[in-house]
Amino acid sequence: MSQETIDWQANYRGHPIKIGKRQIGKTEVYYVSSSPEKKPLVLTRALKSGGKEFWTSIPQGMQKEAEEIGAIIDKLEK
Amino acid sequence: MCYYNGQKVSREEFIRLMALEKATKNYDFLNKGVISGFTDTPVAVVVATEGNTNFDIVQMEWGFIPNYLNTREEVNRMRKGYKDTNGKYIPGQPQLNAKSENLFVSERSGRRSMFYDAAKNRRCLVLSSGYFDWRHVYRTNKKTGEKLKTPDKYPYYVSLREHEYFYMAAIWNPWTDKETGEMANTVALVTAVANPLMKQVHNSKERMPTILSDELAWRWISEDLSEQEVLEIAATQYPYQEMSACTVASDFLGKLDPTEPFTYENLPAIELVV
Repeated sequence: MSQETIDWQANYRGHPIKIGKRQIGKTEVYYVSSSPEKKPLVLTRALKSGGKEFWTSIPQGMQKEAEEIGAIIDKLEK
Repeated sequence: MCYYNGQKVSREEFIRLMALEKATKNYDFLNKGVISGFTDTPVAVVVATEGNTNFDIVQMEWGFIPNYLNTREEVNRMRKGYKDTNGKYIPGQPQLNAKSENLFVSERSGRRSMFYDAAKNRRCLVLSSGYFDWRHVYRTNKKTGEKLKTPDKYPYYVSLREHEYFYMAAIWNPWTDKETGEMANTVALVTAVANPLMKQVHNSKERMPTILSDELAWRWISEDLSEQEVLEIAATQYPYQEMSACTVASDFLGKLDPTEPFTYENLPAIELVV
């Protein structure tokens, strides 16, 4: 994981993942890593027009993973 | 409306997410507390992409460099000031701002402005979460009762109540150093006459950045506007009721949170009787 601190470890689709939470400006972003060789997946919460929150990957392209791992993070943060 | 990862989001949210993309790619300019025009820190600028169908966020140097300047040395002279051949000091002009009234015609010479081409063809937006301005307050001499010549200066942090990020109208110019070949995209904020709030905060010049709503911001960068339309948008005064101005510590630049409110005991409150 390029962003060093790990806040949680979890399981996603049968594989261990490491999750680190960071603050960029006023926004919380989450770095999710499944392997030291791979770039971490970056997730954040965003707002749909209408005001409903959703999880998204930064940059775009990993929406399904963002929603699934986002749900895991929601539970971890409860 | 825009789409991000297949989800319908507002243009403002789209911009925020685009900005976050840059920040997570280790761009170092979106998570800066304060960007000063007197340092070399680049600013985040929104420009329309080709065909005006979308926009991108790029970095630019704050301080418009006109093409008649040939080298960095000349740029530094313009920005910092210099002595002319008669030994007379010519004050610096960092060109951080372009007055809306001067976009096409120079206030000083009455001739075509150096901002003309940029105002016509290279309009952009500077992303901001807030800015700092100084209020000048003149004390009186206790013996004579006369106003002192040097004011006390109080810094304010100005932001929009309902918007984490907002857009300031700006114009940009691609400049090349003719000696070294260095290329730089340089930008100036457009300023308007101050609204009633900013008249009291920035009371030495009574100016404010041209802050634009989402709709006007989009028009500013993406539409082929007439000179009259450019001037009208450039002169936009953002409603003072939607802005907030709060005093901050005089050494705010060195603070962990430079926007942290600070109260000055003897500073008279801003009065908004319009």
